[in-house]
Amino acid sequence: MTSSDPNAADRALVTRMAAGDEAALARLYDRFGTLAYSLALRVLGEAADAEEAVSDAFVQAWNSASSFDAARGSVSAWIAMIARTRALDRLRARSRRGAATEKAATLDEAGLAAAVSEPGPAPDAAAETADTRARINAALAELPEPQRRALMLAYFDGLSHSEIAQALDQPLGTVKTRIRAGLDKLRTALPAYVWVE
Amino acid sequence: MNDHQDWKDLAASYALDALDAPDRQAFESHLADCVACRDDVQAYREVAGTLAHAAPVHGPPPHLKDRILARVRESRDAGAEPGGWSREAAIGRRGRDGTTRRALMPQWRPLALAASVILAVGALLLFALERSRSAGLVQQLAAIENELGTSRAQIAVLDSTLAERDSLFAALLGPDVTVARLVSQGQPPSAQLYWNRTRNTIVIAAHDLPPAPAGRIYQLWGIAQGSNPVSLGTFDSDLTGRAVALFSLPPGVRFQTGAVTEEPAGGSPQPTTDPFLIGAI
Repeated sequence: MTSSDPNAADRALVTRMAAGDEAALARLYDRFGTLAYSLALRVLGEAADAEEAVSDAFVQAWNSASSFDAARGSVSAWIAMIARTRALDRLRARSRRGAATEKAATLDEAGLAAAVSEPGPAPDAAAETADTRARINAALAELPEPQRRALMLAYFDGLSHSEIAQALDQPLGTVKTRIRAGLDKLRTALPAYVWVE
Repeated sequence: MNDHQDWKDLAASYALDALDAPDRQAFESHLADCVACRDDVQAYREVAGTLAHAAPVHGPPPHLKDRILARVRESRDAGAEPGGWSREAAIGRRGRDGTTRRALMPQWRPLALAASVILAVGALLLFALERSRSAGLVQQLAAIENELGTSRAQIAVLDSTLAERDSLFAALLGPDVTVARLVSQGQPPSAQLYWNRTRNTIVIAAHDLPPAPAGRIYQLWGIAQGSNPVSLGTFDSDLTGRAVALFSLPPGVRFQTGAVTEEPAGGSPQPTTDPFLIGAI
């Protein structure tokens, strides 16, 4: 385990959170707040909702820090998973209430408002995240369009196979294969590695 | 569903929560006794997690951090001291309820009233006594909880170290592991590769390899004759010049040669420098 391994530093934060250290939560937010908020805003398209989802997500991370299992993935994937679940919960609750907002339209406004208030992530987190983002976007750009769309609909809109098939007017089997092929390609482009010391 | 490829398709979508209910139920019962699919789900979950980075970047509003910290503090306060209060209150209530309810026949009412006043006073006394005693207990409890939290955190760290070591051992000790040696033209550094074909993983163990310069990283490549090198992953060594890294291989990848280059941090799609470690597998 090298001292510069960011995964180890993140895991140490979660461990401190489990022991009740609020400063560790603040630091975790500095590292992943922008990631969680960007994700929630992309899912919900509305700043106030995104804020609630992010707030719920970090409170949940705090409460479940002791059950975080490093063997099952990185801290950033864990935070992203919680933030996405909370955001999709809100999205579903909203559509149940019948308040299906014009997502594309509000996204621009929300984006503008957020850009004005943007404080930016902590400086050391910024470079690292920018690197990850560049890699994932490069990898996504390499995917054939139908694979990318299927993945985006599943991840950001929380659609199931049958809903994606309907949205893209494609057979169910094709959608299943495309999602798998898309994730396989990303997996190849972004090899995971584990440090042992 | 007899072809295992079909399960693999489902594993990917399961990791994204995109399965419709019938598929999900079928897959979950398959998952219960398929180790390969459990591994797949975990790997796909990690990949799916990176999709979050594909969202356009917006910084959260500045007040959000304080709001979250305040919420956590609030729930914490609500969980700690009020917990002590409600325990004491429960003792007081139990004394009143249990006795008065049975004595509510009309002719007994004045007596019942007097009795309940006496009981209430008694309960209050008990309550005060209990409170001073429980203040000490609450303190002790907090200290124990604190210790428990620290131990739990230590166990979590040990758990994750053990899990990492387990996966390393599994990768090294399989029945079908090919070992190869990568060498450089001069003397050091050197490296061994352990390719586990059953689990489709590769472990690199390098020696006498100084840590990569700032902003650079080492990248391991698999090279098959007549095609471009395939990236197997990036790694760095520690200050003692040792590196041990475990990579999941891209499905279906084939190669006869392993090579290591130095690349910009984050790795490159194709090598940008000449390999300094190379060997046949």
